[in-house]
Amino acid sequence: MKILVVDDSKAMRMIVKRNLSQVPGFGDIETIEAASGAEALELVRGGAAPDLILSDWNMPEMTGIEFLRALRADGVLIPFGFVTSESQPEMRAQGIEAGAAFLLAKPFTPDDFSEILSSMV
Amino acid sequence: MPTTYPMPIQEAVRDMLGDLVGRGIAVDKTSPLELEDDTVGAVSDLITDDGNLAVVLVADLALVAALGASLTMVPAVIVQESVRKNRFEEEALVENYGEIVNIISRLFNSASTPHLRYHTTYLLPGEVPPEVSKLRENHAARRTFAVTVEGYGDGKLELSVG
Repeated sequence: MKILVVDDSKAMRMIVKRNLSQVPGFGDIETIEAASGAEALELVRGGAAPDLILSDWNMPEMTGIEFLRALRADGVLIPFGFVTSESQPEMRAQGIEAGAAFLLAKPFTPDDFSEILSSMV
Repeated sequence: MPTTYPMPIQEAVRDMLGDLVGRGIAVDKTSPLELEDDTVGAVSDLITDDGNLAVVLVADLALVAALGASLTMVPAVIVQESVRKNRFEEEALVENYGEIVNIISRLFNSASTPHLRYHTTYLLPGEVPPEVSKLRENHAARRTFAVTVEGYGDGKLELSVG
């Protein structure tokens, strides 16, 4: 499984990848990284073809929600989840409406991460 | 919509930091953080979606280093060296601390106040925008906490709400 991890924080990309490696059932995971929505969009448009995208919300250049909308406008339907410090109901609703499968609020425990991602295996 | 943002209590700060760095965190109220011209630390700000400044957080070098290191398990010796030399020994300490502020910004959001998000971290000593210093001086509410990060050390965190 190839997962695109999008976050402007290098530390958070590392933490997400560490948690991914602990999710039961994910097996061999290949991760690719991007530091902004713009960089991630370029990767996907360039043919990166991840099976799942995990993205932060607030990022410079292009936010996570803008990235998701751009993907869907391109007709790209790769499963997409937000991993973000944003947890307000209206932002969650906005994300889901744009096509996100879930919004996982930071900070998350390995169990939170496993629970939400195991359902996608 | 009211603009008096919620001021987090020490238990909320403790629990969120603990979940974030995955280790024991102790948080207690303490005396105000005194900033001198040569104080080494970090000033961070939270802004509304319209760009209005709302919250200012200040942490001393020891806490920035301890929290920053614990997030990605940087060896504790780097924190000790930073404190001993009174400077950040690795850029990652400050970068990681910025991510921590980004995440704890959740504590200042509520259903009845405008949405806030993390903006920037400014290093001390160094230039801090006048409006940030002004909010710190003329805050509507302020709390200062002594924060201990298990295995990494302790320092002060000051929260000022405009």
